[in-house]
Amino acid sequence: MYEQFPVRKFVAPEIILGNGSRSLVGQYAKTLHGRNVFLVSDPGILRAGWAGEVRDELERQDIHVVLFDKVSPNPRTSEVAKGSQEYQENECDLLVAVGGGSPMDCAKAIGAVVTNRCHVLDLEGVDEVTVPGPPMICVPTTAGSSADVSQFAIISDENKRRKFGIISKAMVPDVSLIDPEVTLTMPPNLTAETGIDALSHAFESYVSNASSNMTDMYALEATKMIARYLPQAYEEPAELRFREKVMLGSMYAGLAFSNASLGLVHSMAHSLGGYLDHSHGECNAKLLEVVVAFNHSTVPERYSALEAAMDGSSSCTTRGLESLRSRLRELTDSLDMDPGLSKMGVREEDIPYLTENAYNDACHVTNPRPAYREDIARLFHEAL
Amino acid sequence: MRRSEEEIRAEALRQKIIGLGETSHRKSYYPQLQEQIDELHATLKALQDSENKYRTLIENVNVGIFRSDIKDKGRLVQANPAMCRILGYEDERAILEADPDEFYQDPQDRRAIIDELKKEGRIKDKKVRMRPRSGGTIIVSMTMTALYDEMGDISFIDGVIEDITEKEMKEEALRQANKKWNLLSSITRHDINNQAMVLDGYLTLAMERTTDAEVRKLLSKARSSVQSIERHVAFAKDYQDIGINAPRWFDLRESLINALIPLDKASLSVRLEVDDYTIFADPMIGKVFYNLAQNVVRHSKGSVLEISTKEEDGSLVLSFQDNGVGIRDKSRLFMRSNSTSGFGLFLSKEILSITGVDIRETGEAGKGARFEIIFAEGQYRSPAASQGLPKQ
Ligand SMILES: [Fe+2]
Repeated sequence: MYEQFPVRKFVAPEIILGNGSRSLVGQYAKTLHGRNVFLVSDPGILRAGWAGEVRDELERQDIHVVLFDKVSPNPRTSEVAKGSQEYQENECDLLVAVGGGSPMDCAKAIGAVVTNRCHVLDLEGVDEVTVPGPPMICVPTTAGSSADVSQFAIISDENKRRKFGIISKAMVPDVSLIDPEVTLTMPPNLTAETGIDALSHAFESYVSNASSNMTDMYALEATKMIARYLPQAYEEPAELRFREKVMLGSMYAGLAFSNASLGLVHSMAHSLGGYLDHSHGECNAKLLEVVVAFNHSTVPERYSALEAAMDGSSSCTTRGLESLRSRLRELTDSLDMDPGLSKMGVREEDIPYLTENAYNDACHVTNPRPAYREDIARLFHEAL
Repeated sequence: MRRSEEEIRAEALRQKIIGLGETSHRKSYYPQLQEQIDELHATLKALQDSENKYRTLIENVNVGIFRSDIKDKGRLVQANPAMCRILGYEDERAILEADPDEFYQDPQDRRAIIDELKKEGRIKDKKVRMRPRSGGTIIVSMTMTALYDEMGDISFIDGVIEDITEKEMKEEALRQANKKWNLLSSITRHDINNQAMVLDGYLTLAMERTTDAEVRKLLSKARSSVQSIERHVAFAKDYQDIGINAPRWFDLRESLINALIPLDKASLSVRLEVDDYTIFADPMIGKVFYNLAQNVVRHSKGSVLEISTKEEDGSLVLSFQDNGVGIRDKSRLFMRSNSTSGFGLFLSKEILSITGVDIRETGEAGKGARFEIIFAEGQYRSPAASQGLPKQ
């Protein structure tokens, strides 16, 4: 069943990694012939000062900047429409996104809408982006979403209270300036949520039925770094050396999931996030354990490898599901994350709607164990 | 069963995510791409607009436009709405399915047309009787052009047809009305002439019976009135014939000689110095020549008429020069109201104007009249060009 050396593709942007890499934004904007930049960010990042710093850097290179910061934590179709309209009205020629997953996904969707002259809902699905968007540079300010390296953009369909994915190799940004320094301003809860998102990326891509040797390597290394350093970054937010490790782990996880895709955790988390507008990381944190339990019997040796990576060892002795579950709970406990969806406000009667949307999400087609509606509903119940 | 379909769908999606297929492209964007896309959009729009323009035109015109495939028994491959309407088909699909023989009253006409197209490559304004699907007969005017394949054989025929049934009917009605009118006109003329002759006879008798100078003078005036009536009737006869027959090419010298036969050679000697030209004119042209010669005797009081040709600025000038007193008042010369000329010049001008030929009088008063008929380029052929032309 499992191929040892399957034919696989690996796509990644040009990555510049290291402290201070954000200052190269002006140089890269020029390389990409940007004269009029559409800078996508959000109010929080603006307050933290990172968007302003990037703008100054661009303007120092005589590049005109149009700032767009009307992006919610779960970016909406209306915001994408507004953004693409402003992009065209200002005749911009380059996208720069500064922020977490939300501004980056919003910027990616804006780019695709601009070049494809369509509504963002028309781009839903896999390979529906026929014309690549304008050139794009990302400066991620969280260590988790990895939208800066991935082929995914997740947008909220606010009218139907669901999220949908735009999945296409054309959505991979051109340049990612990964700078751990900008994650220093993340509050602890955001550090925890985004970190668990990154761990979910590593887990899901490693057990994905589209994984490959390259993505496996990144997924295991990501798991190792996040499990070890995320609690420390959470405890000591100002310690740059922990931030660096978590950032690197997040990027590894991003490269893994962008190319191997994800699984049921993300399908369910997208449904949940679209319905209740909760943070993506929080949703993942509450679903990871139940999905691991669901998948475990299909790929037990893969989960053993992940557990070993969490413990920093490379020995793959089979320890079983319960051992992994307690290891995961240990991690979320250390991040002060409570289990249970009911605490997020999910009610019994919401489950059919959540199930339908999760089932229709593309992420779980690569889940190791096929999941049907009744499985998903049961898992939502278990997670309540 | 349902599950396996879902599994197929999921597997297809999984393969797309892995991205080894043709729809998965790494982003490789260049700013020029947007410009190219914009240009393309503009071009496509212009193309669409232009296509719409022509399509609306073809769909809205009142003439039938079609293309037929000669290699498929002449079946139509394209027909506009007017074509369908003329032949009574509800839409293009229906007419394309029809056997083209059914369009013709006499299918033999179709074969004759195809034979002609094979020979000529083109047919213009051919009148054909066709049979609309609803029955009856219509008359159409057809113009067709053959399209050839690379072997030089006819592959398609493009054509235009116009339903001229109504026009033909109106023309027929007009012909009938004209015929009646001519008949009435000639009977009336005949009757008037008879009565005028009788009247003239009585007046002559009356003049012989009286010696009263006063009465004779009055009778003489009455007689000239009768002659004037006869002239009017003669004019009516000539005028009726103008433009009835189509203009054609005439040998100039021959036409002149024939026209001047009835002249009284005792009172006028004619010198003809005319080169071998042919002229394009109404068949009544002889009347013009005769009138101009008559004019010399009647009005210019001359005894010699010299007729000659000369080319001038690409035109042919045919002049009638006499040795009489000439014409002093030229202002109303060619008008119908100028009764002194007996309508002759008016009539001449009318006849010439049918083919666009001009006439003018350029003589000096006291030195004879000089009429010049000017044939512009295309209205005459020089001696060299008219070689080999059949004599009229
Ligand atoms: Fe995620």
